[in-house]
Amino acid sequence: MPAWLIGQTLIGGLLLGGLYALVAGGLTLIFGVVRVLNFAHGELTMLAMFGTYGLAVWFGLHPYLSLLIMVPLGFGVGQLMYLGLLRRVFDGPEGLRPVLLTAGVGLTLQNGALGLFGSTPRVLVWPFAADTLRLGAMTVDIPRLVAFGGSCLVAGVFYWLLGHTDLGRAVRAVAEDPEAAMTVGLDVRRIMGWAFGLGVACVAVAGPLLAVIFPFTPFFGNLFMLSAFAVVLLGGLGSFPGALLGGLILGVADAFGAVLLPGTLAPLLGYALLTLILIWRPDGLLGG
Amino acid sequence: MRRSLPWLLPAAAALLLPPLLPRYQQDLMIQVVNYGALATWWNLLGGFAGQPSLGNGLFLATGAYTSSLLFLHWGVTPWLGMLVGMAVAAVIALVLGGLVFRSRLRGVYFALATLVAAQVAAVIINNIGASGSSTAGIALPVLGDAPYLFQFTGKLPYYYFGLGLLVCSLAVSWRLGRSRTGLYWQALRENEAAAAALGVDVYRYKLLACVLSAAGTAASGTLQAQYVLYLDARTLLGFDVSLNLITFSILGGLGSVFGPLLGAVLLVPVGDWVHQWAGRVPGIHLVIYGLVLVLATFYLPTGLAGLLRGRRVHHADGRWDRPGLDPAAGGRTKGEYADET
Repeated sequence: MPAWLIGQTLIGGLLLGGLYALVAGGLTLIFGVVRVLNFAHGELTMLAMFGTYGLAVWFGLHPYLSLLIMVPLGFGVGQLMYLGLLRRVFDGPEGLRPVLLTAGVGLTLQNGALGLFGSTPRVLVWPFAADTLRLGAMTVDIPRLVAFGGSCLVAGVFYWLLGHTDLGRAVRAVAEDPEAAMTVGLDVRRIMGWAFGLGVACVAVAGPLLAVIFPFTPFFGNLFMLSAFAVVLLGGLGSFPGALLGGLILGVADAFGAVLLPGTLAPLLGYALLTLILIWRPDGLLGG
Repeated sequence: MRRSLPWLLPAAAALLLPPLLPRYQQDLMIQVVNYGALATWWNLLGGFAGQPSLGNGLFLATGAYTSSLLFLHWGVTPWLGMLVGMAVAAVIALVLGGLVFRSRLRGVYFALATLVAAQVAAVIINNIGASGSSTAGIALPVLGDAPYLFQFTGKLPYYYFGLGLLVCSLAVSWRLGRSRTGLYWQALRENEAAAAALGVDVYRYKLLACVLSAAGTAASGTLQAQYVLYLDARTLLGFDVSLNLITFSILGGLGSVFGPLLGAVLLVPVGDWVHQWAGRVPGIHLVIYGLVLVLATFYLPTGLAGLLRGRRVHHADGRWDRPGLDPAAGGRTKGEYADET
């Protein structure tokens, strides 16, 4: 492998990893606070992509501007999912029902989208979508660079939000010990709603950023959710820094897999790495 | 006699009815017994032992591909291939469970790991396909009436063999559910730390459930391969395959012996009917299953089996459950805060 190809693959992998980290970060935030793995996460990502597509095609709205609509919408949807559905079936940190509920929501959303939109791949053609930046022999796609920047920005916002605000302290308290948090007067239910909303808002950020990079179908959520799950296993369930680290690692592994392994075997490199890391650390890199 | 009547009637119908039905209905019956067995095996692991697998499609595919590849490459009869497939699935379950059960996170972690494992298998299997194309499946040769090679011209032999597998799954669930092993499963499902403290070898009993479920599921995989004579990763390993089994189990009743079968008996025909009715809308039956899953988790925490059993507790907040016996109500000690203020 020539040096420029290694560099190119590494950059591509890191940029992809940023997006993995963004979606997985939302997943792990929800798990850490609400103790529910959101199996509708991928489907919500997919819907955000279709939403962006619809806004762009019908109203000519710039994909990045649709973030202004998608993010509050995603936050609202997340709050609604928690307060309207999950809160009512919550039955303990190891209970099955909340997880299965999100899986049911995901199954409904995915196949509802399939019925409505069909399985033809959509491509969001936008003037800047094919722009590239040249760095010597390497090229970097502008939309991917923007997506990575967006992911970093969200990570920064979360770092500030969780570490330096009252809301963040409350969220961390609930994640640590809900009962104790309630004893000191925190409204646990409301904070869990916030956490779920913020987790889905991550996905709403990812949707528009992804829509200009990948062609997508209603099954896109499936694929991307799997990567997000692999990321949270890798980094440790419930650990936000773990999701960031895991995302970058899996992104790079996937990028090198695509270069080194023939065709459809590409994802195997990432999964092999995941297996090795789990043998070494069963709770993930930063988990437990 | 009166007490056994509710059991004898469906049993007699399952045995005597299919020869009288048209081919189309026979096909539906085969799907019902097949899904019934698969859901029962899922329930042994997910309901009895409380380890929700999202990758039982992996074991289904293991059974289907092992017997089919052995037949295609070495002419081994699928009857023998089925047994080999069960063994292979058991080994995979042992390795996978051995890896995952070491984590301190429970339940959901197992679900995630099995889901990812099934997808890894899908990636590998897509590359086994005969042609170079990534989505191509494997077709088995049509041999006509060849009982020794697990092929029949009519649908009835498949049906009765499927019924046999279903009875096996129910018998294992029934027998083990009441044995010491079943009690250990119940203990570790309700409170793993407490079970371990009382001397239950939690790791070993979780692995046992995993291995049994895998082997049983693999047998159904061979049946499915021989019946359809076509294999591909999408239909065997897709996320919705595993999710269907869960939907049947949840609707019927998690952790009850006959619940998953009941769920399959009700939902497989509904899915088929919806599919017929709105054939041009792809995936519409999965929308229905998804809604059933949502509604069942909402309103039927013990499933239909719990409802039929009648002994239930009506909580002040409108939930029905039977504390202590029901995995859906498990671990409530820490969960109360979300509901009760």
